[in-house]
Amino acid sequence: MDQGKIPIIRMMRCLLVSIQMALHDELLEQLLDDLGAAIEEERPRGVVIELANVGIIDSFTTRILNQIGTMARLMGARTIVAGIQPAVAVTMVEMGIELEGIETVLGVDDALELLGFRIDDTEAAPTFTVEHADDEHAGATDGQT
Amino acid sequence: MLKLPIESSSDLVAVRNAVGKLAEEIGFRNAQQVKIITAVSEIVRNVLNYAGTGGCIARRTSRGIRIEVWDSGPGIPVETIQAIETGSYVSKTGMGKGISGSKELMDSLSILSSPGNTQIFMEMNL
Repeated sequence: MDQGKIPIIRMMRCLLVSIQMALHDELLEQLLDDLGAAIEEERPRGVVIELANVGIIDSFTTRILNQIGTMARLMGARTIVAGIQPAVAVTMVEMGIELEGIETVLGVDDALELLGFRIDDTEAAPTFTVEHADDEHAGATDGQT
Repeated sequence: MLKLPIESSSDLVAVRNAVGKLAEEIGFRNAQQVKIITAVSEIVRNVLNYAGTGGCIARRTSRGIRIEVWDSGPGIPVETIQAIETGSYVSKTGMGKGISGSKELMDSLSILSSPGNTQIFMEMNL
């Protein structure tokens, strides 16, 4: 059965994964493979995985996330997980499972700021600025939110 | 009452969804629903990984929900069951980790296991 893929968005030397579907094990294993290829190809500063719409993180999901984090770190990229729901976090604590070597934040905005994007939302149209002077995209702005 | 087959990872998602819906109908809070779904996910994945196929029954009780998962695989080693029941299971991986984690999430979890017949019963009260 073809269960599709979890899409990986490539933006400004960052890989963004927003999971919006029921997590089959095969989907997660495919994501691990796809992210490895994308990191090699894009050489991103970081990988951001948004889980705000994921209602369950069990030990298998945790293991895959930890593998993604380790793989990305070995390839020179940070991994940041954003938006874990409170009930999911409590459940993980009670089960004794945890994300190791992965940074966690509340939202994607926080993740992007950790990766050096400065988000100016004081204007009518928020802008992204990359703060790293040595980066090929330094100073670039984008109208995306 | 729900009676669902466990034969593939698609069934894992189907069981999670069906048990979650039943838990919501019974009146469990969101945090309790997440615990129930997570515990079921761990036990059903063990069936897929270690036995191949099995089944799941979930039903409303006077106090909450009761879930039974069974398979006809090789069974769970006695020492693993004892370690889970005494809370001394320490491995971070493998069959026992999923069961011991589920035991932490549910109000009760009991295991009947012999080669060819394993049954795990879980309950959570409102």
